[in-house]
Amino acid sequence: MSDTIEKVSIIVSKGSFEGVYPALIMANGARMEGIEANVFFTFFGMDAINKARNEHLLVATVGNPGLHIPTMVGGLPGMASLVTHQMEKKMEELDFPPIPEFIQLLADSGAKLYACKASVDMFDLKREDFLDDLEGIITVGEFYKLAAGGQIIFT
Amino acid sequence: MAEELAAKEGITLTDRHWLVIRFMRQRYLDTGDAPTIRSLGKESGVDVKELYKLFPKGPAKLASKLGGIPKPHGCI
Repeated sequence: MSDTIEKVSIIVSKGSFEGVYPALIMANGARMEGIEANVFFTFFGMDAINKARNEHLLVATVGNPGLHIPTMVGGLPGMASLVTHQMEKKMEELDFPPIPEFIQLLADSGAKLYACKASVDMFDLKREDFLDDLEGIITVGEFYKLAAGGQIIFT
Repeated sequence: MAEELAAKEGITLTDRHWLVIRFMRQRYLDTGDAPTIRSLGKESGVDVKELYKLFPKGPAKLASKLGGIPKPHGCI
C-alpha cells in the first residue's frame, strides 16, 4: 500500500451546518494537497447542494451536547439561527467561505460532487433541484467504482 | 531556481504562474502567512479554476514553495 493518499471519496450524510462543514473542509484540503476528491451527498447531506436550501443550513442546537447549552434553551425559537449566525461570523473572520461559496470553490477546484440516487428518489427530488455544478446523481455501486483505489470517509 | 523546482513538478512557468507566486510572496511578507485558497482565488487576479490548471498538484502549496515562503498554515 502506498504511503501517500491519491484519492478521497467523502460521504456527507448530515444536513446540519456543523454536519456539512467538516466534509467540505476535508475535500478542499485534499484538493489543496493535489489529492483527487469526490463528495457524495446522501440523505439530509443533500441540502448542501440543494439550490433552495444550501444557504439556510443551521447548527443543531438541540441534541448537541457539544454546544454546552441546556436542551430547553437550545429549543427556544430563533436559537438555531442565532448560534449559526455567530458561527458564520467567526468562520468569516478565519476566511472560511459560506456553504454555497464553499461548494462552488470545491467544484472550481476540480472536486467532483455527486448526489445519492436512493436519497434523491426517496425525497422526490430532481436534477433541477441541485446546483449546476453537480456532476451527477449516482447509485451506491457507481460511488464505489469512483472511490476504488482511494480512501472513503463517512461524515 | 523557481524554474528548476517547477520543472520537477512538471510545470513550465508562465506569466500567470508568476502572478500567483508574486501575490503569495507579497501577502506572506505583508501579513506573515500565505493567503487561503479563497483569497488567492479572489484577490490574485487568477480564479480558482485557473489556479488548479496552473498548479494541478495544489496551487497554494506549490506557489508558496516556488516563491520561497513557508506553505500556508490554515486548513482552508
